[in-house]
Amino acid sequence: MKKVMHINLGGRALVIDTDAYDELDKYLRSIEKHFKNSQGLEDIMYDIENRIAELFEEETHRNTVITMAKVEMIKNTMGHPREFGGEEYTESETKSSIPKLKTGKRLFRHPEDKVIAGVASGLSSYFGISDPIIIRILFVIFTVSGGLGLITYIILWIAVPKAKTTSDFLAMKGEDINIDSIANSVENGLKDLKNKLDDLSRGIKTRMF
Amino acid sequence: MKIENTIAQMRKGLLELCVLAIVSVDEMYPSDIIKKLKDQEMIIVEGTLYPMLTRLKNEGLLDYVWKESNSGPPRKYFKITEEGSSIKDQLIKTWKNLSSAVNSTIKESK
Repeated sequence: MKKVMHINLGGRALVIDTDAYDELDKYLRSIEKHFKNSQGLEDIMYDIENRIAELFEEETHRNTVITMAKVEMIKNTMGHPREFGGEEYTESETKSSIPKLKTGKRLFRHPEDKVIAGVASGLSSYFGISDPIIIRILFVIFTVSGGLGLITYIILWIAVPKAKTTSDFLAMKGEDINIDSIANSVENGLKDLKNKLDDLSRGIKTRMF
Repeated sequence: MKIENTIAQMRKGLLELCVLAIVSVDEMYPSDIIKKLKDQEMIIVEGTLYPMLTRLKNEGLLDYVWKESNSGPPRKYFKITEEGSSIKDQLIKTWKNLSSAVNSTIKESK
Protein backbone atom coordinates (compact mmCIF):
# COMPACT_ATOMS: atom_id res chain seq x y z
CA MET A 1 0.00 0.00 0.00
CA LYS A 2 1.23 3.47 -0.91
CA LYS A 3 0.13 7.05 -0.53
CA VAL A 4 -0.54 9.00 -3.72
CA MET A 5 -0.47 12.66 -4.65
CA HIS A 6 -2.44 14.70 -7.13
CA ILE A 7 -0.24 16.94 -9.22
CA ASN A 8 -0.63 19.40 -12.06
CA LEU A 9 2.10 18.79 -14.59
CA GLY A 10 2.05 20.80 -17.78
CA GLY A 11 -1.63 21.57 -17.28
CA ARG A 12 -2.62 17.95 -16.79
CA ALA A 13 -3.99 16.50 -13.57
CA LEU A 14 -2.06 13.37 -12.69
CA VAL A 15 -2.01 10.91 -9.81
CA ILE A 16 1.43 9.82 -8.68
CA ASP A 17 2.97 7.70 -5.90
CA THR A 18 4.75 9.85 -3.32
CA ASP A 19 8.13 8.17 -3.87
CA ALA A 20 7.71 8.55 -7.64
CA TYR A 21 6.85 12.20 -7.06
CA ASP A 22 10.09 12.75 -5.13
CA GLU A 23 12.10 11.16 -7.92
CA LEU A 24 10.36 13.21 -10.60
CA ASP A 25 10.82 16.39 -8.59
CA LYS A 26 14.52 15.64 -8.22
CA TYR A 27 14.83 15.05 -11.95
CA LEU A 28 13.05 18.28 -12.90
CA ARG A 29 15.19 20.23 -10.45
CA SER A 30 18.35 18.82 -11.97
CA ILE A 31 17.20 20.00 -15.40
CA GLU A 32 16.36 23.41 -13.99
CA LYS A 33 19.81 23.64 -12.42
CA HIS A 34 21.47 22.66 -15.70
CA PHE A 35 19.78 25.51 -17.57
CA LYS A 36 19.97 28.04 -14.75
CA ASN A 37 22.07 30.43 -16.82
CA SER A 38 20.26 29.90 -20.10
CA GLN A 39 17.97 32.39 -21.66
CA GLY A 40 14.45 31.04 -21.78
CA LEU A 41 14.66 28.72 -18.78
CA GLU A 42 10.92 29.03 -18.28
CA ASP A 43 10.21 28.05 -21.88
CA ILE A 44 12.49 25.05 -21.65
CA MET A 45 10.94 23.87 -18.39
CA TYR A 46 7.42 24.43 -19.69
CA ASP A 47 8.10 22.37 -22.82
CA ILE A 48 9.80 19.58 -20.93
CA GLU A 49 7.11 19.33 -18.24
CA ASN A 50 4.51 19.39 -20.94
CA ARG A 51 6.19 16.56 -22.80
CA ILE A 52 6.65 14.48 -19.66
CA ALA A 53 2.97 14.90 -18.80
CA GLU A 54 2.06 13.87 -22.33
CA LEU A 55 4.23 10.76 -22.11
CA PHE A 56 2.66 9.83 -18.76
CA GLU A 57 -0.75 10.19 -20.31
CA GLU A 58 0.19 7.95 -23.22
CA GLU A 59 1.64 5.37 -20.87
CA THR A 60 -0.85 5.32 -18.06
CA HIS A 61 -4.44 4.66 -18.92
CA ARG A 62 -7.06 6.57 -17.08
CA ASN A 63 -7.20 6.00 -13.34
CA THR A 64 -3.83 4.33 -13.14
CA VAL A 65 -1.19 5.77 -10.90
CA ILE A 66 2.27 6.93 -11.97
CA THR A 67 4.77 4.63 -10.30
CA MET A 68 8.51 4.81 -9.75
CA ALA A 69 9.03 2.51 -12.73
CA LYS A 70 7.18 4.96 -14.99
CA VAL A 71 9.30 7.84 -13.72
CA GLU A 72 12.47 5.86 -14.41
CA MET A 73 11.18 5.13 -17.90
CA ILE A 74 10.54 8.84 -18.50
CA LYS A 75 14.03 9.68 -17.30
CA ASN A 76 15.44 7.25 -19.86
CA THR A 77 13.35 8.70 -22.65
CA MET A 78 14.15 12.31 -21.81
CA GLY A 79 17.79 11.70 -20.92
CA HIS A 80 20.22 13.10 -18.39
CA PRO A 81 20.49 16.91 -18.32
CA ARG A 82 24.16 16.74 -19.28
CA GLU A 83 23.13 15.14 -22.59
CA PHE A 84 20.78 18.01 -23.38
CA GLY A 85 23.43 20.40 -24.58
CA GLY A 86 21.82 23.80 -25.01
CA GLU A 87 23.26 27.13 -24.09
CA GLU A 88 25.12 26.12 -21.01
CA TYR A 89 27.13 23.69 -23.08
CA THR A 90 28.32 26.15 -25.73
CA GLU A 91 28.97 28.84 -23.13
CA SER A 92 31.30 26.70 -21.10
CA GLU A 93 33.06 25.64 -24.31
CA THR A 94 33.88 29.18 -25.36
CA LYS A 95 34.86 30.18 -21.85
CA SER A 96 37.28 27.33 -21.36
CA SER A 97 38.99 27.91 -24.70
CA ILE A 98 40.38 31.31 -23.69
CA PRO A 99 42.12 31.06 -20.32
CA LYS A 100 42.95 27.38 -20.69
CA LEU A 101 45.71 27.28 -18.13
CA LYS A 102 43.70 28.73 -15.27
CA THR A 103 40.53 26.72 -15.80
CA GLY A 104 42.29 23.58 -16.98
CA LYS A 105 44.64 23.10 -14.10
CA ARG A 106 44.24 23.46 -10.39
CA LEU A 107 46.32 22.64 -7.38
CA PHE A 108 45.02 19.70 -5.36
CA ARG A 109 46.47 17.30 -2.84
CA HIS A 110 46.91 13.87 -4.38
CA PRO A 111 45.27 11.30 -2.08
CA GLU A 112 46.38 8.27 -4.11
CA ASP A 113 50.07 9.07 -4.25
CA LYS A 114 51.02 10.35 -0.87
CA VAL A 115 53.58 9.99 1.89
CA ILE A 116 51.96 12.39 4.38
CA ALA A 117 49.05 14.31 2.88
CA GLY A 118 49.70 14.30 -0.86
CA VAL A 119 50.99 17.90 -0.99
CA ALA A 120 54.22 17.05 -2.80
CA SER A 121 52.65 14.87 -5.48
CA GLY A 122 49.87 17.44 -5.94
CA LEU A 123 52.50 20.13 -6.48
CA SER A 124 54.45 18.01 -8.91
CA SER A 125 51.34 17.28 -11.03
CA TYR A 126 50.59 20.98 -11.00
CA PHE A 127 54.06 21.91 -12.19
CA GLY A 128 54.31 18.99 -14.59
CA ILE A 129 57.18 17.34 -12.72
CA SER A 130 57.13 13.63 -13.39
CA ASP A 131 58.39 12.41 -10.03
CA PRO A 132 57.11 13.91 -6.76
CA ILE A 133 60.35 12.79 -5.05
CA ILE A 134 61.98 16.02 -6.30
CA ILE A 135 59.44 18.15 -4.42
CA ARG A 136 59.71 15.88 -1.39
CA ILE A 137 63.49 16.29 -1.29
CA LEU A 138 63.05 20.06 -1.55
CA PHE A 139 60.66 19.96 1.40
CA VAL A 140 63.16 17.93 3.42
CA ILE A 141 66.03 20.29 2.55
CA PHE A 142 63.99 23.35 3.51
CA THR A 143 62.86 21.63 6.71
CA VAL A 144 66.36 20.72 7.82
CA SER A 145 67.73 24.15 6.96
CA GLY A 146 65.54 26.31 9.20
CA GLY A 147 62.17 24.55 9.30
CA LEU A 148 60.65 26.53 6.44
CA GLY A 149 59.78 23.37 4.53
CA LEU A 150 57.73 22.00 7.38
CA ILE A 151 55.80 25.26 7.82
CA THR A 152 55.12 25.52 4.07
CA TYR A 153 53.99 21.92 4.03
CA ILE A 154 51.55 22.41 6.88
CA ILE A 155 50.15 25.59 5.33
CA LEU A 156 49.63 23.84 2.00
CA TRP A 157 48.11 20.85 3.79
CA ILE A 158 45.51 23.18 5.31
CA ALA A 159 45.00 25.48 2.32
CA VAL A 160 45.00 23.07 -0.61
CA PRO A 161 41.91 20.85 -1.03
CA LYS A 162 42.21 17.11 -1.51
CA ALA A 163 41.24 15.83 -4.97
CA LYS A 164 38.03 13.83 -4.60
CA THR A 165 36.04 13.69 -7.81
CA THR A 166 37.16 12.63 -11.28
CA SER A 167 37.02 16.23 -12.44
CA ASP A 168 39.28 17.19 -9.54
CA PHE A 169 41.80 14.63 -10.72
CA LEU A 170 41.55 15.87 -14.29
CA ALA A 171 41.93 19.46 -13.17
CA MET A 172 44.88 18.45 -11.02
CA LYS A 173 46.67 16.88 -13.95
CA GLY A 174 45.45 19.48 -16.44
CA GLU A 175 43.64 18.44 -19.58
CA ASP A 176 45.74 20.12 -22.22
CA ILE A 177 49.35 19.59 -21.44
CA ASN A 178 51.88 20.97 -23.88
CA ILE A 179 55.37 22.37 -23.50
CA ASP A 180 54.16 25.97 -23.31
CA SER A 181 51.54 25.36 -20.66
CA ILE A 182 53.95 23.34 -18.55
CA ALA A 183 56.65 25.99 -18.84
CA ASN A 184 54.13 28.70 -18.04
CA SER A 185 52.65 26.95 -15.04
CA VAL A 186 56.08 26.05 -13.69
CA GLU A 187 57.17 29.64 -14.08
CA ASN A 188 54.01 31.08 -12.51
CA GLY A 189 53.94 28.47 -9.82
CA LEU A 190 57.58 29.03 -8.90
CA LYS A 191 57.03 32.76 -8.83
CA ASP A 192 54.03 32.26 -6.53
CA LEU A 193 55.97 29.86 -4.37
CA LYS A 194 58.91 32.23 -4.15
CA ASN A 195 56.63 35.11 -3.13
CA LYS A 196 54.95 32.92 -0.55
CA LEU A 197 58.29 31.76 0.82
CA ASP A 198 59.59 35.35 0.94
CA ASP A 199 56.49 36.48 2.80
CA LEU A 200 56.76 33.55 5.14
CA SER A 201 60.45 34.07 5.92
CA ARG A 202 59.85 37.77 6.45
CA GLY A 203 57.05 36.89 8.85
CA ILE A 204 59.23 34.49 10.75
CA LYS A 205 62.12 36.92 10.94
CA THR A 206 59.97 39.73 12.33
CA ARG A 207 58.59 37.36 14.89
CA MET A 208 62.00 36.02 15.90
CA PHE A 209 63.89 39.26 16.08
CA MET B 1 32.86 5.38 -24.39
CA LYS B 2 35.00 7.81 -26.38
CA ILE B 3 33.52 6.79 -29.72
CA GLU B 4 30.01 7.37 -28.40
CA ASN B 5 31.04 10.89 -27.50
CA THR B 6 32.27 11.55 -31.02
CA ILE B 7 29.11 10.15 -32.54
CA ALA B 8 26.98 12.26 -30.21
CA GLN B 9 28.92 15.39 -31.22
CA MET B 10 28.46 14.63 -34.93
CA ARG B 11 24.75 14.14 -34.45
CA LYS B 12 24.40 17.23 -32.31
CA GLY B 13 25.99 19.45 -34.92
CA LEU B 14 23.54 18.33 -37.56
CA LEU B 15 20.47 18.22 -35.37
CA GLU B 16 19.89 21.94 -35.76
CA LEU B 17 19.78 21.63 -39.53
CA CYS B 18 17.34 18.72 -39.29
CA VAL B 19 15.03 20.61 -36.94
CA LEU B 20 15.02 23.64 -39.25
CA ALA B 21 14.35 21.41 -42.23
CA ILE B 22 11.45 19.59 -40.53
CA VAL B 23 9.84 22.81 -39.33
CA SER B 24 10.24 24.50 -42.73
CA VAL B 25 7.75 22.09 -44.29
CA ASP B 26 4.87 22.81 -41.96
CA GLU B 27 3.97 24.14 -38.53
CA MET B 28 5.00 21.44 -36.12
CA TYR B 29 4.17 20.28 -32.62
CA PRO B 30 7.39 19.36 -30.74
CA SER B 31 6.24 15.79 -30.11
CA ASP B 32 5.82 15.32 -33.86
CA ILE B 33 9.32 16.72 -34.45
CA ILE B 34 10.61 14.21 -31.89
CA LYS B 35 8.88 11.38 -33.70
CA LYS B 36 10.47 12.30 -37.04
CA LEU B 37 13.91 12.67 -35.47
CA LYS B 38 13.58 9.36 -33.65
CA ASP B 39 12.49 7.55 -36.80
CA GLN B 40 15.69 8.75 -38.47
CA GLU B 41 17.76 7.99 -35.37
CA MET B 42 18.88 11.61 -35.30
CA ILE B 43 18.03 11.97 -31.63
CA ILE B 44 18.63 9.57 -28.76
CA VAL B 45 17.24 11.40 -25.75
CA GLU B 46 14.24 13.67 -26.14
CA GLY B 47 15.54 16.26 -23.73
CA THR B 48 17.97 17.52 -26.37
CA LEU B 49 15.22 19.00 -28.51
CA TYR B 50 13.54 21.43 -26.11
CA PRO B 51 16.51 23.60 -25.21
CA MET B 52 17.34 23.74 -28.91
CA LEU B 53 13.84 24.89 -29.87
CA THR B 54 13.98 27.61 -27.23
CA ARG B 55 17.41 28.74 -28.40
CA LEU B 56 16.38 28.81 -32.07
CA LYS B 57 13.31 30.80 -31.08
CA ASN B 58 15.39 33.29 -29.08
CA GLU B 59 17.75 33.66 -32.04
CA GLY B 60 14.80 34.49 -34.26
CA LEU B 61 15.08 31.43 -36.50
CA LEU B 62 11.85 29.89 -35.24
CA ASP B 63 8.58 31.19 -33.94
CA TYR B 64 5.59 29.50 -32.41
CA VAL B 65 1.83 29.87 -32.27
CA TRP B 66 -0.59 28.45 -29.70
CA LYS B 67 -3.25 26.07 -30.91
CA GLU B 68 -6.10 24.46 -29.03
CA SER B 69 -5.92 20.72 -28.64
CA ASN B 70 -8.63 18.11 -28.26
CA SER B 71 -6.68 16.25 -25.65
CA GLY B 72 -5.07 18.38 -22.97
CA PRO B 73 -3.87 21.98 -22.77
CA PRO B 74 -3.12 24.28 -25.76
CA ARG B 75 -0.07 23.28 -27.80
CA LYS B 76 2.86 25.24 -29.11
CA TYR B 77 3.31 24.85 -32.85
CA PHE B 78 6.69 25.85 -34.21
CA LYS B 79 7.29 27.39 -37.61
CA ILE B 80 10.35 28.73 -39.39
CA THR B 81 10.97 32.46 -39.82
CA GLU B 82 12.40 34.14 -42.91
CA GLU B 83 15.77 34.41 -41.21
CA GLY B 84 15.57 30.75 -40.20
CA SER B 85 14.81 29.83 -43.76
CA SER B 86 17.90 31.54 -45.12
CA ILE B 87 20.05 30.00 -42.37
CA LYS B 88 18.61 26.60 -43.26
CA ASP B 89 19.57 27.08 -46.92
CA GLN B 90 23.12 28.05 -45.94
CA LEU B 91 23.39 25.05 -43.63
CA ILE B 92 22.14 22.70 -46.33
CA LYS B 93 24.73 24.09 -48.74
CA THR B 94 27.49 23.66 -46.15
CA TRP B 95 26.34 20.13 -45.37
CA LYS B 96 26.36 19.12 -49.04
CA ASN B 97 29.88 20.46 -49.50
CA LEU B 98 31.02 18.85 -46.29
CA SER B 99 29.53 15.47 -46.97
CA SER B 100 31.04 15.23 -50.45
CA ALA B 101 34.40 16.40 -49.10
CA VAL B 102 34.26 13.87 -46.26
CA ASN B 103 33.15 11.08 -48.58
CA SER B 104 35.99 11.61 -51.00
CA THR B 105 38.45 11.81 -48.11
CA ILE B 106 37.13 8.55 -46.70
CA LYS B 107 37.36 6.88 -50.11
CA GLU B 108 41.07 7.68 -50.27
CA SER B 109 41.64 5.97 -46.95
CA LYS B 110 40.34 2.64 -48.24
